[in-house]
Amino acid sequence: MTAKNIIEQIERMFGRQPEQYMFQLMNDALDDIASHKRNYTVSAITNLEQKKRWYLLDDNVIDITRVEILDTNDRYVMIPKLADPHKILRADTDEDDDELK
Amino acid sequence: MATSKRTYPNTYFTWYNDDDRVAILAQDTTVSSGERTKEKYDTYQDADVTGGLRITYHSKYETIDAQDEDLKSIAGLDSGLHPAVVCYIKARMYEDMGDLQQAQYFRAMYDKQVKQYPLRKSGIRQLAVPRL
Repeated sequence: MTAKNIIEQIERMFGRQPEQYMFQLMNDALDDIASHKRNYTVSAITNLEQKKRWYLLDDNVIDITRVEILDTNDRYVMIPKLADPHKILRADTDEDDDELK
Repeated sequence: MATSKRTYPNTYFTWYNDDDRVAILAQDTTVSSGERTKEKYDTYQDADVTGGLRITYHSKYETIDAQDEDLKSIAGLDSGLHPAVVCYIKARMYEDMGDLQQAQYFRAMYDKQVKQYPLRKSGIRQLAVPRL
């Protein structure tokens, strides 16, 4: 179903509506559904950087399902999640050039 | 020469996250580094790797901003949930108009459609209990 189909259904009941208002409501609906249903899975690739611990997550991320590292055979290999990160004493690298030191 | 940690990533690397960041750690295999704290994991210290990190996540749907955009192919919403979007919009519009009875009706329809729609296409949805 396209946005136009949805707008037509709404306008049949409510009459002509501003387009931007319709898009806003449609996007609100999508956000609301996303908060209940987690079925839209996306992968994002970024560079693995030296001496960088924290990678900012996109605003669209709801929860992370897997993290992979490109191995020396150019294949992505899943890495395990740390079960006890609260035991990590240092939150970041001790290098001078790291802004999160 | 020591084995590259990226030869066996699942042995050497690990991750964890907080609310808006993910941390990538690698096993600290240095013997003497002069550090005051010794921990099993530290920040990855080897060379940069282009495209070296892939994160898979459940995402919000993409936004719609043109009439010809399809909710399935552009936004990523399953086609079975498209009627729920219509119900949501109707509920919101009736709310804005002050007709709370109609708003409640369409909100209930929306909730029912979202709650009942089966999205899981993998895994067991319920336990099969054998009859004893």
